[in-house]
Amino acid sequence: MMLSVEDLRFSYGDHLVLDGVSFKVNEGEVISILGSNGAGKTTLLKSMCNIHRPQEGKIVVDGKDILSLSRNDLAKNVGFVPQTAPASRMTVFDSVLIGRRPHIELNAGEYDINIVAEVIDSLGLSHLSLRYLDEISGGELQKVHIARAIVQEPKVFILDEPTSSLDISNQHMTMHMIEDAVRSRNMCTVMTMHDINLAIHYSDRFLFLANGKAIAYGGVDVIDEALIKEVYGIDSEIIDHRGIPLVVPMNSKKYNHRSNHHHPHDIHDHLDQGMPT
Amino acid sequence: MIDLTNISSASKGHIKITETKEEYLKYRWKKILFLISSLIFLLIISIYTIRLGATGLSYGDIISYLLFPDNSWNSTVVWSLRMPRIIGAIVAGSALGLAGVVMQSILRNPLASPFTLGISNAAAFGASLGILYLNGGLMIGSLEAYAQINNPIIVTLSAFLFAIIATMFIVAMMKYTDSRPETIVLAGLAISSIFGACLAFMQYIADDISISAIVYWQFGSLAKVTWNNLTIVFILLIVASLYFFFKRWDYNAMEAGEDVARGLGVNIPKTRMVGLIISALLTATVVSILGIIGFIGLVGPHIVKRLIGNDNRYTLPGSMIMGAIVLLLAYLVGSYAFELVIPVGIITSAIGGPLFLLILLRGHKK
Repeated sequence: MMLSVEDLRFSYGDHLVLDGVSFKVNEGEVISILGSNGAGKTTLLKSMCNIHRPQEGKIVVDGKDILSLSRNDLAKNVGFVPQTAPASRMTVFDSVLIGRRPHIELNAGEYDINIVAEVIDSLGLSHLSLRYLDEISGGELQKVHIARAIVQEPKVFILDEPTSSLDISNQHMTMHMIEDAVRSRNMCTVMTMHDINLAIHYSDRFLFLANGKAIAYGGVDVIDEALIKEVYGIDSEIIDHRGIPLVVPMNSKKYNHRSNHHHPHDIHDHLDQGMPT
Repeated sequence: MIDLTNISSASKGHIKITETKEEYLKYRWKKILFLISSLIFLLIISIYTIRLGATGLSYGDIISYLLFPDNSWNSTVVWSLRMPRIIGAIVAGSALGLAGVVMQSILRNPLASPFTLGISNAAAFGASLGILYLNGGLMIGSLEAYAQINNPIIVTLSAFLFAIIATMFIVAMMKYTDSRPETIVLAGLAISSIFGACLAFMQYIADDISISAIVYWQFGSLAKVTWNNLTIVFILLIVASLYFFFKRWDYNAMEAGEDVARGLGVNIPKTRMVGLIISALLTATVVSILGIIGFIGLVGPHIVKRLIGNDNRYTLPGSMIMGAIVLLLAYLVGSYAFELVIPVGIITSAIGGPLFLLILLRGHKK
C-alpha cells in the first residue's frame, strides 16, 4: 500500500495556499512536513483529510482517489490528530471510543470496545480510562487524541504538530508512541513539525514547504544549510551528533557574542601587537 | 516498546478481556442504572402529584377513574385536570431538556438552551402574534381574561417561524464572530430583548382583554394543557428523540472539536443546522402551548452531565428524564408549596437563574 499525493492545490479566495504539492509515502513510513509559519503545512494536512476540500489534485491510497469517497468512507481511511482539541467532561474511554464512529452502524459492538481497551492499555492510559478529559494533563490529553485516531484503524495517519504543547520528556514519549503505532500497524504517516531536530529523530523523509510549494523532498540528506536558509530565512550550522544531523540556528545573540570573543582575528590582533597570548 | 500487535488479534475474535474493558463495562452499567433510577423517581413523583389537589381522592379512587372513566366530577378532575398537567410536565420537560442538551452539544456551548439563546422569547412573540392576529386563539372572559388556543397548528407554526428566525440569527453570529459561548449567549440576550420589545409593542396597541389574556398566557403554566395540544408536542418529541438518537455519535464527535468531528466523517454544517431546526421546533411547540418556561433546557442537562459525564448516548435520554423531573417538581412546588398557585415558568426561572450564574462562575473563576 502506498499513499500518493498528486498536484494538490488549495486557495482561500484569491490567496493560493497550496500550489501543486506532490509526494509519496510508503506504508509504515513517517513523513514530516516542515516550513515556516504560514507556509501551508496545516492546510496541506487538512486538505488530505477533507477538512478543507482541495480545489485540484488527488490523494491516492491503494490505487483509489480517497477524495472521491463519501465522508464516512474517507474517515475509515484517514485518521487525523489535531494540534489542540477541547477537553470536555467525557471519560478517556468514551472519548477514544468516538474514533470508532465511521465504523459503528448503531451501537458500539464487542469489537469496538475491545480495540479501544487494547489501545488504551498499549498507550499506557489504563489508569486514566475512566477519568474525565477535563481532569487530565495536556500530555495525557494528546495521547487520548492519538489513541482516538488509532482506533479509527486508518491506512493514512495524519498528525498536526503532535508535540507542540508538550515538555521535552513528553515530546519524546509521544513521538515514541506514534512511531511504534505506525510501524506495528503499517500506516502511511504524515505529520507537521516545528521542531526540525525532533522531526529528524522520528521521520523517514522530509517535505519542505515554502509559500505553498514543495521545495525539497527526501531523506535526511536533503537537509543542508542552504535549504534551512531558504525555508526559514536563518543561518544555521548542521553538525553531526553521533551520526544524526543536528540543526543549530546561528542567528542568536549568544552565538554572535561568543563568536566575537573567540574569533581567530582577535588572536591575530593580539599577536600583531606583541602581546602575550 | 509499546505493543500494538495484539489489536489485530481482536479482529480475529481472540479477545483478551482486559481489566480496562471490564471496568468500562461496569461504569457503563452505572450510567444505565442512573437512567433507570431517574425514571423510577419520575414515576414516584408523578404518582405522588396525582393525589394532590382540592378534590380529596384516594389512590384507589384514582386508579378506578383512570381505568373506568365516567361522567362524574371526580373522573373529570383525574382525566381533564390532573393527568394532562402531569403528562404535560413530563412531555414538555423532556422536550426542553432534549432541545437544551442538543443545542449545548452541537454549538459546543455549555450555556446554550432554548431560553438563553432567545429562542423561547422569539417563539413566544410568534405564538402571541398567532393568538392575537392570526385567529389562532380565543379571548375568553372579561375581568379575568385568558387566551384559549383554538388553533394550535397556526399558533405553533407562527411560533416556529420566529424561533427559526432567532436560530438563523444565532447561526449567523457563529459564522461571523469568534463564536465563544459568551458571545453567543450575549447574542441570545439581544434576540430576547428584540422580541421582548415586539411583544411589548403588541401589548401596547392591543385592547385591555387581549393584554390581560396574552400576559396571562405568557407565564409558562401547565394549567393551559389539553390532551389535544399535548398530542402535537408528544408526536414531535418522539420523532425528534428518534432522530437525535441516531445522531448521538455525531454529537459525541462534535464534543471532541470541529476538526476531530470532520476527520471522523461528520458533516458539521448539516448536522448543526438540522439539529438546531428540530430543537427550535420542539421549543416553539412547547412555548406555544405552555408559554415561556425558562432554564429547563439548561438545568436538566447540567444535572445529568455533572452526575454521569458528557456522553450523548446517555445525556440525551438523561436530560429528557431530568427535564421532566425538574418541571414536575417545579409544578409541585408552584401548585402546593404556597397559598397562591404560582405558574411553573416563575419557579423554573427562580431555580434556573442561580444555576446559570453558577455555571458562569465555574467556567470563569479567577
